[in-house]
Amino acid sequence: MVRRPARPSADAAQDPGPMVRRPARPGVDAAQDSGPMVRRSARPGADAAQDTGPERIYVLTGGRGGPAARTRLDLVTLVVAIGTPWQSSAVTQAVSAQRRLFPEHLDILRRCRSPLSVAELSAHLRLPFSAVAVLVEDLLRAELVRTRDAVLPAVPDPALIEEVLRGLQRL
Amino acid sequence: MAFNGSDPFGGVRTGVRELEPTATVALKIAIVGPLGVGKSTMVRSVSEISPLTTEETMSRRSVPVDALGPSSAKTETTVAMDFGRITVSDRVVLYLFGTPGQERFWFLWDGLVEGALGAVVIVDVLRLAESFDVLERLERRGCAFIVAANRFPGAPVYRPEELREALDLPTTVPVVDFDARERESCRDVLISLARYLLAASRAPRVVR
Repeated sequence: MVRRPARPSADAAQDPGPMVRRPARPGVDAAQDSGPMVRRSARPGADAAQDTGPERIYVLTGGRGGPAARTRLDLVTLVVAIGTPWQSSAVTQAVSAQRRLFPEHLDILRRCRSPLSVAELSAHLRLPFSAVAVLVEDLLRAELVRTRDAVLPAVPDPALIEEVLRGLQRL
Repeated sequence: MAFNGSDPFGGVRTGVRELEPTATVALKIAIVGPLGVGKSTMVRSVSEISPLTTEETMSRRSVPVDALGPSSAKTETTVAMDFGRITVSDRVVLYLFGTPGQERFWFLWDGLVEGALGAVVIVDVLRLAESFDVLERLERRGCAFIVAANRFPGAPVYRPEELREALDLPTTVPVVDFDARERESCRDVLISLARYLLAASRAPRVVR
């Protein structure tokens, strides 16, 4: 076994040394755990609803690189739509014109009829986290969504961890 | 790379469970480790939803926002992070993020480790050295973690104490072994983390 070098007292003589490495086992091969991937940006010219390339993101965010500092949206901030059912397309169009909303804003409102994290919105909309955060901030300012804040204090409440523990034990 | 349940109209998505309206507390757990160690496999094994992918662009934090325009944006590269979800109660939801351990992806950690409940460091006993950087990174940030050795068939089995010594960890840090392909095994890893965090929250100075 390889040893972490940090500790001077570690005895190298006990190290069994490097071992022959087994090929990746089935089920955990590179295809399944490929980690981060560099992607080619979407081609320009795709239609607006599908286009998530840099030009579309620039239009959506107005060039804003991320939400204003005061909002502090996190990957796991839960977003919930307020009130309006957003079912009638006529109503939706009228509201979106009045509020200057993009189709992506409306998509967020539809998806957030039940709570959804910013990370999930990013996945469903195929937009980077920072772009979704800007859109959610727009909706917060328009009072069309509310958020439930996520970031924990440095030392979380034991009662909360107990709740997590009980939930995991029920799985 | 799958974007499951990403129908454009947000209608009924088969197999996608919606959160209860009562869900108010969302917690992050980082699943960290080198490439191919089983992070995505673990997320897939325990998640109640098909794993999703969120993205961020590499240049966001390294280039001033003003410099980003439609033309310069084309040079950005995109990094993807897998995640899954576990509802633990009416009110509390866990999100598990599989996070690459390589140094060039550490910018992702800024948003992830901050405010996270804790982390699971997955190690392969044959490639322990690849996890040293990650451990130091977590230690420096004061993020509570446990170590879980993915049980690769044919790999030597070490006792937790041996692994803990090789990784130069305090005796309080749990070291467990598990199989990332098995749901119960992954759940037990999370239970170990929760027990450790509970002890830490009751005596914060001992561990953090």
